[in-house]
Amino acid sequence: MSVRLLSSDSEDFTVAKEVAERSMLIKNMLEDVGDNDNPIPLPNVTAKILRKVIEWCEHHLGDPVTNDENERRNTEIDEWDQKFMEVDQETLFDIILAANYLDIKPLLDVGCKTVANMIKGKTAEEIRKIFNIVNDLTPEEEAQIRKENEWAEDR
Amino acid sequence: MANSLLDLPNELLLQVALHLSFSDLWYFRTCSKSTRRLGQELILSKYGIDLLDPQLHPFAYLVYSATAFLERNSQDPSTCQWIANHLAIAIHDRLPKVFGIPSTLDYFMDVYIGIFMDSLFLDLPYCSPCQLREWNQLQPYTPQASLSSAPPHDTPEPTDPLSSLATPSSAFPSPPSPSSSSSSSNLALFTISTVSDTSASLYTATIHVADLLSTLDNVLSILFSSNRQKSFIVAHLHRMVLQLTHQYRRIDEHDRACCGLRICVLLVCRLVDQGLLSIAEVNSFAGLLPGFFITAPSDVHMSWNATPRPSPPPSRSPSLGTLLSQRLRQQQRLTYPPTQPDLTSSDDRLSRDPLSLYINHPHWPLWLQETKLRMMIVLDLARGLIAQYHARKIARLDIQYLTNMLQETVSAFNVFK
Repeated sequence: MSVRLLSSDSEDFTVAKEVAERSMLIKNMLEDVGDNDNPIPLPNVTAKILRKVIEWCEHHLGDPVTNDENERRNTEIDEWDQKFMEVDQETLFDIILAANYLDIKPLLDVGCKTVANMIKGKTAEEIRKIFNIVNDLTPEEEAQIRKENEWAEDR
Repeated sequence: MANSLLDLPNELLLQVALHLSFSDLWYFRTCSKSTRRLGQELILSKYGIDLLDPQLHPFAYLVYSATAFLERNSQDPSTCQWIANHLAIAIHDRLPKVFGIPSTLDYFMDVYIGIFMDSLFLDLPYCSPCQLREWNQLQPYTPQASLSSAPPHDTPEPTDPLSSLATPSSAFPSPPSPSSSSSSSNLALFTISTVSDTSASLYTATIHVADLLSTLDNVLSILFSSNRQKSFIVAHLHRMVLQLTHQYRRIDEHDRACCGLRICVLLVCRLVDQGLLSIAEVNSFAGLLPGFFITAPSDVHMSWNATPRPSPPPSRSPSLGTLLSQRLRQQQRLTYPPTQPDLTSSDDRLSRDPLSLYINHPHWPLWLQETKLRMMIVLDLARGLIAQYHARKIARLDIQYLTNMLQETVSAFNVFK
């Protein structure tokens, strides 16, 4: 059995019901409306991102669903997911937003862990470079931060 | 649509922050105006530390910064001395010139000891070391596990936990060298260091905090002839145990509290090594530990009789009843099989027919889990103290609380005699 999903830019996707049901939002919608040929509108997800999300759901179709947050939190990102997340930052953030909107917790975790790994162990300068953050601190604020972190300065 | 990290809603940024450590968030907040605001919000949400609190003393700010610096630079052996020197200067500069020096010094000591100790519990893993590799503390101490020679994560970890037991040379514990001043802490949480990368970094962090406190003690004693640090350490250790006790009684924090207790024990062992805590103080610390647990060793009766004895009341205090039931429901699905254990290795027991062991308590899975943890920490502490007993040639080892705890725990298994 298949389900039709309609992206925000009006692209129609037909996917297996089990794949679509990795999303708790879609699962609940299907339970509410029953069997129906009408596409499910997803106004917060573009076709580009929906395609990625479907790809992820298809790959993880057989994965056991765990509701244990601690278990999910402690699981490392597997190799396939690491490759899957090798996208530009805009796409990465949109996948995270889509996973949150569609309520696909494991995908949301993978996204958040990927972003966290980009920050882990990095200096302020490196973080600015990675995320394209403009240093808009005033000289006073800079001085304050330098004072807070004078350990590294003096060394 | 999110074009940049800062476009993500706070709720999702907090989810990202759950995978970051304190130092990551500390340095993240130094990037720009918006990351500064955001980082401070994330630190407040995740750790409950309000860096914008007008009552937060600038010295406390400096100590938080030192905590982040220590975490980032712990692989450099000179970091502890560097921080200690820097903090000592910061304290010196803030002391009044004439009156009130001792009380101001006390205030600063209280602040930095509290923050450094608390930093160990900021990023506790959400899984119990006891769950991951049971009874690792009974594995032999080997010099490779010693932090003084190499950090634990540099030590190649055996892929199979049983493989080390199969090696005859490591099948039995090598007695710790009496001359080694760092043996007890290595013994104490050698087990934690083998659990996972997270636990290994916790192990390293704990050792570094203890070493930093020791270095600070040396520096401050020279500068101000003060030896008051000890009493603050003891007070904060007591506070930590109380805090962990409360945390342990929250279902979702249960495993983190167990891990925290083991970290606390490692810290104590290292502080004894460094001469910052006496054996009497460790014994007094051990006196607090029974209060951490919900069950007592005597709560559960085991027997070989065919008829189980009537069940004792499920809890020592009525208020714990609900908690025990909740915890039982949570544990029944993940812990011990309800069937009788296999005891066929004992000839004596083979003669009994039918072979049945009755564990007569509705909450025995919790009791068993607590008994294991109790054993782990008692043995960690005992080994740490015995190493000191040998190293310092102490005439008498007065460890009444510890002995009581050990006896109580062991006597619960008298039925196996």
